[in-house]
Amino acid sequence: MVILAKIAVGMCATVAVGAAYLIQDGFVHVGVDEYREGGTHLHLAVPAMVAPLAIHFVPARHLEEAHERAAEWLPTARIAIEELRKLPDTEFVYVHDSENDVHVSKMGGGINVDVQSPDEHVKVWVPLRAAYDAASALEERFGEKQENFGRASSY
Amino acid sequence: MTRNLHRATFGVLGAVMLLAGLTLTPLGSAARRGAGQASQNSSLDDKWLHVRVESTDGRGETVRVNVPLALAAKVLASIDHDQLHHGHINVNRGDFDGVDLKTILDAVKSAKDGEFVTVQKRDADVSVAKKGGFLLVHVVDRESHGENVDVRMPMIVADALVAPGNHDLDLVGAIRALAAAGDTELVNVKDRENTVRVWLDSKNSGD
Repeated sequence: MVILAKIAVGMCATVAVGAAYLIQDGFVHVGVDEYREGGTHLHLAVPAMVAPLAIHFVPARHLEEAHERAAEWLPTARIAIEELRKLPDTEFVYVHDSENDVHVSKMGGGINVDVQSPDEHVKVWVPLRAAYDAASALEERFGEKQENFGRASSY
Repeated sequence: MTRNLHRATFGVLGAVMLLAGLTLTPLGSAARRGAGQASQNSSLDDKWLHVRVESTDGRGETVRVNVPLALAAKVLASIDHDQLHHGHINVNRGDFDGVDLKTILDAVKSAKDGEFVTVQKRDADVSVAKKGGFLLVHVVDRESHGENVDVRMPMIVADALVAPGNHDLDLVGAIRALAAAGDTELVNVKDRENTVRVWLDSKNSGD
């Protein structure tokens, strides 16, 4: 009986730790609603922790192209995210015309992109913490912790 | 007694695992990195550049852009690409389509207050002046859409842009100078259908 209790407590602790680890960065929310008949209605909430975690396990050959294209801009992305995290919730871009509305804002610790058109409504929310960790993970993966991060931060 | 001890041991182990899960992950490291980056530029931190475009034509377009200057400065400072090197644009050849921008800015910087350019035509007026620490450009176009353009650039921004002793334009220096210039309107364009405003203040929303 005591053994069973120990196993149960151990499992609960493992589940709790796993859950805490997965949800600590929040969730990436993606919503797509197409207004045409039979259109897509997709609403996803993916644990944001998955992206930086997955970067560590993707075979190097699959990351080579991404590395070539993005490596130069990773420190900049990381600095931008770090700065964004310091800001209050705010709207960065709003574009409106007779048919479309586009919002890019910081909301609740994440970047929110909301596009409303006559055909569809697309909404994406990415936690900044997860974006930062993903950029850092990519840099670490290729051993590119560049010195210019420190230099840029001195401004 | 032994059972209670086991329970307590498992409880403590569970709590330790939970804490370890939370602190040994990138969340912990990111938070520590963030805390270590204390801002050295308080004047930059609360300044926002706002752009508004409003159109009263058929489509009724509205564009609002709000950019925190601190973000712009740090992002520019981090870029080393093409002619942009950590916030500096190399203008060694002194040429922007044949215009020596650096020499012009240097000349304006050292000139006394006054009107530098005045053009008056039947269909348009143009004036460029330096007054009260600002470079002022005023254009009235009486033809087409009846455009009225006002540009008001603090001279300290031009000073910072043309850093002495080198051949670069210091964009980050100019942004820092802009932040120090206080709340001000930089650009105002109006015609029959459109209004464009660019201004600087301490609000994170332009409304």
